[in-house]
Amino acid sequence: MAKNKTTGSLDTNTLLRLLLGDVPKQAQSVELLIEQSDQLEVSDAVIIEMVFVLEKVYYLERSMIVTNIHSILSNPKMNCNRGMFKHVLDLYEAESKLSIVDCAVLQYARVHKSTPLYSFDKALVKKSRGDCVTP
Amino acid sequence: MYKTTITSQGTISIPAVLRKKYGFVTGEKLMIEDTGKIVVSKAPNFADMRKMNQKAIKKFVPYKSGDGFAAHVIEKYGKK
Repeated sequence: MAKNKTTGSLDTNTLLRLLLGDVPKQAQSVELLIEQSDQLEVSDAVIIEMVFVLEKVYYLERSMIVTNIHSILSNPKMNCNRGMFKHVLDLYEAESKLSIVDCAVLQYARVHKSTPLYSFDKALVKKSRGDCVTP
Repeated sequence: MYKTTITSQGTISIPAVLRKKYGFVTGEKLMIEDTGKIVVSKAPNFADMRKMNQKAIKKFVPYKSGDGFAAHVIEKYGKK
C-alpha cells in the first residue's frame, strides 16, 4: 500500500519564525514539521508578505531578504512558484526603487504574455525595459 | 578549470580541492541550478539563516499579520 503523503500549507508567520528564530520553540516546531512532511504549499501571497515584513518591520537589506526567500524556494519540500520568483527576486535585488509587488506584477505580466503592463508608477515604467507603459 | 566524468547513473565527482574550498561535506544537500550553465551551490540551511538574521536584525518586534503590507501602503500611497 502506498504511504499517504503528509502535506499542508505554511503561512507567513510560520516561515518568519523558522527563519528568524526569535521564538526558538516555534522555529523548532516548524523545522520539525518540515522534516516530517512530504510536501508543503507556500503561496505567492505568503512569499510577498514575507518580503514586506523582512523589509519594513525588520529592516533587512535586500540581499539578505533574497537569501532568506531563496532558502525557502530551494527547499525541495516547499511547493511554490519557484520559476517566477527567481525572476521576481532578481529584479527586486537589482532595482531598489521597485517594491516586491511591482516586481511580481511585472513578472506576472511577462510570464502570462500579457504585456504591456499599464501603470502610473514612473519607476516601474522606467525599469521595465518597455514592458510597462503609462495608459 | 577542473575535469570530471559523468557515470551511467548521472553521478559526477566534485574535485577534493573544490569540496574543501566551498566546505562541501559528505551527505550535504546541494542545489543544482539551470541557468544555461549548471550551477552547483550549497543549499541554505535554516539554522544558518537564523544565525545570520539574528546578527543582522537590530530589534525583534512582535509582528502581526498585515504589518508589512501596511507599512508598504503607508509609504507608497499614504499622505505626504
